[in-house]
Amino acid sequence: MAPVPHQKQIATWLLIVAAMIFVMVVLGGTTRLTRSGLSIVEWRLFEGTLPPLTEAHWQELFELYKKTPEYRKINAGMDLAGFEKIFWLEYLHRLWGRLIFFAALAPLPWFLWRRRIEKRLVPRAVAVPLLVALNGVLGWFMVASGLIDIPRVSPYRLTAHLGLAVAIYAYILWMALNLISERAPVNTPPGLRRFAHAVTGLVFLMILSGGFVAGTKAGFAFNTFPWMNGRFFPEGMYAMQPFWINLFENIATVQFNHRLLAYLLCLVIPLFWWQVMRAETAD
Amino acid sequence: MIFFLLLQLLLGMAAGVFNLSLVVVTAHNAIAALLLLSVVNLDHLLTPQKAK
Repeated sequence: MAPVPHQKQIATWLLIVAAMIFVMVVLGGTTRLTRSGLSIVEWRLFEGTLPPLTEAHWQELFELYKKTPEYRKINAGMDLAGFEKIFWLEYLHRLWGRLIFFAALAPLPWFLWRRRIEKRLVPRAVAVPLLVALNGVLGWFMVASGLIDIPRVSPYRLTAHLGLAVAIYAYILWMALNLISERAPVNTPPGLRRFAHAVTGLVFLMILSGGFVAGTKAGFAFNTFPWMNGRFFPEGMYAMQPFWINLFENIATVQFNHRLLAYLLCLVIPLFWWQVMRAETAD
Repeated sequence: MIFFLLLQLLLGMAAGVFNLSLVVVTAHNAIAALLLLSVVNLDHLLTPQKAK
């Protein structure tokens, strides 16, 4: 059955927000890689929308940055021009976040007022801007962890920020697909459905594992493939105590696990694909 | 899905070898999100709609 017109409108709204989150994930990664993320040391929800427009304002923000551990321990001696370079990416990241929130919120009252959203879907639609706002708060919570003594953000907070962004992205896509896409025949084998959920979960886990690779800077540690400094199991994989902390903070374990999940996906995704094809042929 | 998986693997290996080049790692992030998109889409197709 073809989607009714207002379902298409709602799906378009959701897909625009999902596309904006996609851009945000890429932009967030770039912000981190260029070490720009700690350049803005305040969280001014409204005033922060505008960039500095005067020399005095630039200088004021630079002076605030000079008090951070990142400036003192890594960027000491950086001049205003250097600060401006790292400022712009973080500014863009935050501005884009505000725009996502605006895009998620603005059409909602109209859809609700015109009763365009089915009653059972209203809470799910209202959750979209709330989740986006929550991730904004989480983003600041992450940045705040890098302003205290060590010039890097907490890998846990970074992964939570990335994980929530990706979860919102998947949630919105699912909602949009519900509105516009033709669903599968009901006779899809339950085993295949469970397999599909498991593969989705595994890809999500892989992305979280990538968050820990970024958060611990594990990517810089082992630059050979498939060996990690000449070994499959890198040295010092479980050197930290207690044991569980290795999974999140030991750079050897964090990178090894990221690779291990990649190997697993290499087996699971083609197998899943083959199962889907087989089920289609059987139909 | 298979295409994104293969591309993602190549980018992951290249990220290590090229010492986390900005372009390669940014592409690695983007393809991760596209891989998730393709998996979510297929998962959705295989999940029957709940009765309204």
